[in-house]
Amino acid sequence: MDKTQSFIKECLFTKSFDNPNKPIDEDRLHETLLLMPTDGGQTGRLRRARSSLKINAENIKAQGNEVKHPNYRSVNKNSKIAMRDFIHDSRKASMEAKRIAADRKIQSKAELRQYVKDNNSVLYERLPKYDAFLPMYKDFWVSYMRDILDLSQDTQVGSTPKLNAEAALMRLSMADYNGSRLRVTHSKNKNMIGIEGIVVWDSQKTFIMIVKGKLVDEIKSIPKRGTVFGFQIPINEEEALEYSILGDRFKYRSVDRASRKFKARRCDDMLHYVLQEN
Amino acid sequence: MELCFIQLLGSYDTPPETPHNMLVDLNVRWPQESFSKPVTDKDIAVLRSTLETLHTTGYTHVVLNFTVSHSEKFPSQPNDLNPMRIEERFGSLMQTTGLKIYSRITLVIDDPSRGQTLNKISKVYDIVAALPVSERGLTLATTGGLDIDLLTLDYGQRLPTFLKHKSICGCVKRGVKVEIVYGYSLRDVNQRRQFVQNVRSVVRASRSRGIVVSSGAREPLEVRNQLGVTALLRTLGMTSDQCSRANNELAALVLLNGRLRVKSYKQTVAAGSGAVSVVDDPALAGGAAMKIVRRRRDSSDTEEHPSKQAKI
Repeated sequence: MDKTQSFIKECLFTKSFDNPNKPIDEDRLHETLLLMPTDGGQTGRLRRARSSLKINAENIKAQGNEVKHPNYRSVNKNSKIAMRDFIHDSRKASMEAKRIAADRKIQSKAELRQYVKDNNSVLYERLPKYDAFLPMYKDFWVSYMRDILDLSQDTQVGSTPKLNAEAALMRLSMADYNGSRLRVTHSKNKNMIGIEGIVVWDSQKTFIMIVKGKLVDEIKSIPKRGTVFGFQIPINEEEALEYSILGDRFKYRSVDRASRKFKARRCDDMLHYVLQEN
Repeated sequence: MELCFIQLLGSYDTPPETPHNMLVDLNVRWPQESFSKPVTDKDIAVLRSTLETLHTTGYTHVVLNFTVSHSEKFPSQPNDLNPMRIEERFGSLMQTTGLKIYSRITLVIDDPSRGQTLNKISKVYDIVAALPVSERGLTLATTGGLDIDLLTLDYGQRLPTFLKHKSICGCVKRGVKVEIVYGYSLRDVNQRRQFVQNVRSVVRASRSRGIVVSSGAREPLEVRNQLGVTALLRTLGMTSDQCSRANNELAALVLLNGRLRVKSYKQTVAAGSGAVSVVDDPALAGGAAMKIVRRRRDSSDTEEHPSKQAKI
């Protein structure tokens, strides 16, 4: 019996067996068993450090998520405040412009614009202008949508585009609607039906839109709940694909929506949508 | 005072026009036993007269129900999956009466292990229903293993198992409605007895939540109007407002649920503008999930030349 075996017997077997000699007596122990000194976990630590230095897809992703804006919170908060201020301010400006129009009995939009520009340049700056937002829809959003749906070429008038209808719907559910032109086609609140505008901001529970008015353009915030929004994606000069957003199931920010897994739910809350007045 | 009274009486004469008059019959039997047996012209003629009767009794939305076994093999050709061809056969009827006709498939579930996937079949039908005839089939249908809109039972036979509140109500909570088919009570005495017993147990198990009523009519004489249905169900333990919801609002929800499965992506973005709901939109009938319309332009579009190509 060599030295190792006595060490094992004294230090290990005494703890796990009533009779520490039992495995040795039963010949269960190898004669040439070696015990090595440890380095106190040094190698393991080194190996881990080395693997973390290696570049692979997982590593990059994990690091990317960790990188944050240094003062992310305050930036986020400030942007929210700025957005709110913008909405309130443009609302007030629209009201003021309307009042001026009523006072001066101005009937047309161009006339009112000119009058405000000449007499009250501060107010003119504050007025929301539909035309300023129009390129956002025309130049960016429409081509973005056509990109998403692979409709870069115009289809012939009267023919159906080459499009997998299901895949198209799925892509549309993940798309970004900032800059889209939406129309309230159905709503629990009858007064909202028919409002059409360009989305300035797609928040969690509302669409903030700029709406073209007769005299002044206005910023409106339309709740998604209980509302159906329709929109069109032009496929050629004459025709367009028509889709609608069911606001009740769309109550997520666009950031969250991109990676979200949607689930069909019980649609009792959408009863208003089926029972429409004809 | 007298004038007031007369006015009240007057308003009773003509029932108040509800803003949404929608009466749905979710189950009119499609005269075909299985995919292999073709439908005859005589059967279609009977079906047409049934539909006309339904229209006369005030129904606006009617669903044709094709019952097949879940284990029987579905046809491989996508065109054969739905043999109804509603537009071709009943197009003129729909136009003249304004009746809206939908298609439904009911799967008789006996042994869940021999079932097949519903991916293909649920695309060509508006509603998918399950009819479990065994205990395991009922478990499969109620626990959400199948993507169905409606749970129905064979009311002419003894129920496969005692219905538990937990399973039925769990099913209702997920949005799957439970169907009562009153056609069974009109055929023979044995079936009627069984029908009463089964309906009582369904009402008990579901606590009268999420129950829809349909006719299951095979011939014109098996159709009843809303009053008749209400009278029948009130004797079986439902209140009259539950009865009126059963073939009105809740049945409409079944249609909506079924339609949205194909016409939308998980109920988020749907085809069509939404001015008419996906259930009523004639352009979305059949399997189409895409709607092409004329472009709507506002004045600013015409002022400048429309630019559609990106400028970046």
